[in-house]
Amino acid sequence: MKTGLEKYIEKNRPQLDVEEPDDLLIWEGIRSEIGKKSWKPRPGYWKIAAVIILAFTSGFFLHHQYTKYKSPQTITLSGISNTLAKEEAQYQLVIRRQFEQIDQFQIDRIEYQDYFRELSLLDELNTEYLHDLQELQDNPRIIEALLKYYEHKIRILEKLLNEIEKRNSHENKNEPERYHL
Amino acid sequence: MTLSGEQRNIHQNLIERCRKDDVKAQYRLYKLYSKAMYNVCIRMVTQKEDAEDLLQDAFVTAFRNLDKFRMEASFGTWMRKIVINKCINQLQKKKLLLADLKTIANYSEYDEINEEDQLNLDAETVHHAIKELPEGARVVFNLFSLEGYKHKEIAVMLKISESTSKSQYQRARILLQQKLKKEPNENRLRKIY
Repeated sequence: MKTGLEKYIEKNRPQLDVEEPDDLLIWEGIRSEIGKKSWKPRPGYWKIAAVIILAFTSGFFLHHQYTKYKSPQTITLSGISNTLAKEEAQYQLVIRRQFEQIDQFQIDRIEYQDYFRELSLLDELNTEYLHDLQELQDNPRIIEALLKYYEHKIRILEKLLNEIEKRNSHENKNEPERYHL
Repeated sequence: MTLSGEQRNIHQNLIERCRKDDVKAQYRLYKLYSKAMYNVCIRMVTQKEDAEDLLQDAFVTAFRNLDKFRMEASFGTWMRKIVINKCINQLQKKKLLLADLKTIANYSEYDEINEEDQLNLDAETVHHAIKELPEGARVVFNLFSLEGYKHKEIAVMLKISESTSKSQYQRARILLQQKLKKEPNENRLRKIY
């Protein structure tokens, strides 16, 4: 026979999922991992491979033409130029440090949900820009938009950190007696 | 989780787009399942960092193997299996799971909390109380009570006997009842991050 606890769990199973994942960080990790995806042969690909091998034998020009159409790589800013790679790495470092700072505060994310919603929307936009980058490659407007994404994200995180600090200092001011008794 | 016809179609469309490496579709699919899957992870491994790594790893595996997903079950069920396998592998690597599963669980029915006693049953408290269970009991409890596996299936997954699974479940249930009765306030005050 089921106990009250078991009956409760059975009835309220979805409500037990109470914790929120850090979607921004996890999604960034997933994207970078999927970007590294190795090419896997599929049924029928052997024909293409055969054509490519044939092309190799017919000289450098054909080789060059065929390899252009091999499995497409995911293009990121880092893949376009060394300067952009450095710029992107610096932005990512700043963002990572900001998240580390936020984590140290152990905040209740629900209280700052507006910031996290904004960050989430920003990331959605960024995934669209990245998608466009695959099609338009080194289009200056897309590159600018991707760099602006990092700048905007850093600004939101700065605001969030300021807000956390402000609320923390306000809370501390409101309970001085506890420490002076 | 059962899906309506319409929901199933939405998912089918999303999955098809994910198979074509559509980043936006992948993100939407991730967002649809991230919270539920994260909670499976955190209840199994308890540490935030471990749960995040496992969730990331599970989604990468899912996206890379979407061709193997045949739509016979819902995507959620398929994803959940990947997540649970990853969690079990992670725990088995640390070898703590095996050690704790060997703990002899000699609890009698008399140790159970009287059904008339009031337990602090609210979702957040129960969730955190589950996370505080000893490893072996917690894993078996999660698999049986929350994920719907039978003891026979759990025995195969964890490479233990069916009776060990049953006794660990009983151990978990009693410990959980005691936790929910004894420390309701402490659990209630815990924040979610």
